[in-house]
Amino acid sequence: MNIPASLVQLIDELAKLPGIGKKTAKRLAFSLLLRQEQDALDLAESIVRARKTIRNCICCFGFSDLEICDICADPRRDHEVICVVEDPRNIFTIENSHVFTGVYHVLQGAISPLQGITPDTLKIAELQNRIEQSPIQELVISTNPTLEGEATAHYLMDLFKDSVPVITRIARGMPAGGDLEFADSNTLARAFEGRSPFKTEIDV
Amino acid sequence: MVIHSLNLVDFRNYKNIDVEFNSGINFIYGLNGQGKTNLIESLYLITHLKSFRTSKIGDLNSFSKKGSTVQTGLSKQNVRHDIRITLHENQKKVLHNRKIVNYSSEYIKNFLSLLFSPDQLVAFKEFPLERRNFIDRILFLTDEKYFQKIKEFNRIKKQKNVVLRGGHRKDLFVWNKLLAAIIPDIVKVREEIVEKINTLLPDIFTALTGRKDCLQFSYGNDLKNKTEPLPESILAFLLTKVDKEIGNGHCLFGPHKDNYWMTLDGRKDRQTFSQGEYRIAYLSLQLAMNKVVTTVLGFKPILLLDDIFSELDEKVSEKTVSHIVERENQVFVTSTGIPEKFLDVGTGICVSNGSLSIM
Repeated sequence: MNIPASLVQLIDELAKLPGIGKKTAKRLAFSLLLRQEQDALDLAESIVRARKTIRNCICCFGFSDLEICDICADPRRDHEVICVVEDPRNIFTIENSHVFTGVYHVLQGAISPLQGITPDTLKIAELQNRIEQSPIQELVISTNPTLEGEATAHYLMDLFKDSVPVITRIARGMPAGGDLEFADSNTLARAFEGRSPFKTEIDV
Repeated sequence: MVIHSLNLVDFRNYKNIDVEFNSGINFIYGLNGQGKTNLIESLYLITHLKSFRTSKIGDLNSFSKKGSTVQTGLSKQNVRHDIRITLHENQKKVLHNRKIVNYSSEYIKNFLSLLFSPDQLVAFKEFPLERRNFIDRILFLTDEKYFQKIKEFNRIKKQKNVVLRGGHRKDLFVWNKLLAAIIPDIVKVREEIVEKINTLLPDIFTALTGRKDCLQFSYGNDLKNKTEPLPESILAFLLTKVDKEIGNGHCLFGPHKDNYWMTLDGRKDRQTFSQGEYRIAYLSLQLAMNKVVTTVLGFKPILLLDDIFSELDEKVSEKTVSHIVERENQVFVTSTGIPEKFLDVGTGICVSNGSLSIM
């Protein structure tokens, strides 16, 4: 029996998603057909709604359903500290940890000529505009600790060294609650290079 | 490290052989075209997971059949390892102690053999890349950090090449900066190993030849006479070469252009060594490397000496054998004639048309 054309199309569309192979796509497609019709329609509708309403914040390029996202619009946040990330997802991760009270800027990638990503294709000019219009005190570079993330960090560092008083880079090394035995040698080497004087919170 | 037993099925000209080896010296002899080098090749495959004669796995299968297996029991630092390598068309599957090996790069860190073969000698003599690979293979084994640095260096170089080909001058700075930061670390490790080799090399050369001239291994750091070995100076230098590099479309300066060579009392190898001198010098280098890695790794690599007697004169051959006896490595030596005078220090294995007999 031939698989109906619309089902083939559904499978092929699902297989385009990251982390989904042909087999998983097939399983998902069949599962969508076997469930209650309403479940599948709800999913379809939520995809449409999300795609139609969510756009990039015109200020930080994070995801938002308004022109300016909640974070950029929030007067309680410190607008003089900008945290630069590669990906809108990173904002959610950092927000979940409640460690940062400034605002964000999403580059939408990291410099990688091999993949055709140059500084011009990233939202770097936009960051420059933003800083020119309202000067900031600190730029926290939180690109990934990959070679490409590092290259991007260096690029930003050179670009803003005269216009931003403090430029910082998030630390690399051992994960909290981690076990030495599970760290790869590269991570350990970085952790040792970046070791710092031991401080206790309370001076006795 | 010692290879105790070997079983080859449909490998090159071997249909099905089982052989037990001496933990000292094994003399493999037989007429031309009987399979001596094939045996050496199978042992090299065990430690390197590739051949030194071909890049195609399919070539290792015997003519008639499609798949072949190499199975061996070896021991290293008192631990026994069972290894089974199955070659099918152009695929290989490796079982190490009955577990599937997913990454060759992880597997080959466990074992090591040093090879002297006429082909290898020519490649070493002709191509700087071969010489860099020879040193790097050892360094990858002994220095995990160096392995990571080279991986990173290659990635930066690849990214920079794309920028150079595109002629994007202003995007180049960051890649030059990253290169400048990593180059001194690579150069330092290379300098150190050459220094270590040079503490051993003259004595080994003298032991093999009875000659007093001083054999030295030299490292030609590409950036040496161009700049100081500091990130800032390297960056400044690279910035002066931007036009030239954009013109060529690839990285022109750095450790990927480094070279190594040998000298005898200051005479440079390629220009002034005789054929014989080069062979002995190369063999001395392998034997010096043997000592260096033994100290660092804590085990003795296997020495594979293919066709060594036809390459060296009688006196040097004798001295080589007695040097090897002292070092206590497991050694495999091939020759066309029966090495009668050496048989008391090792085992003779006669190869005849794909079958082996121990003498």
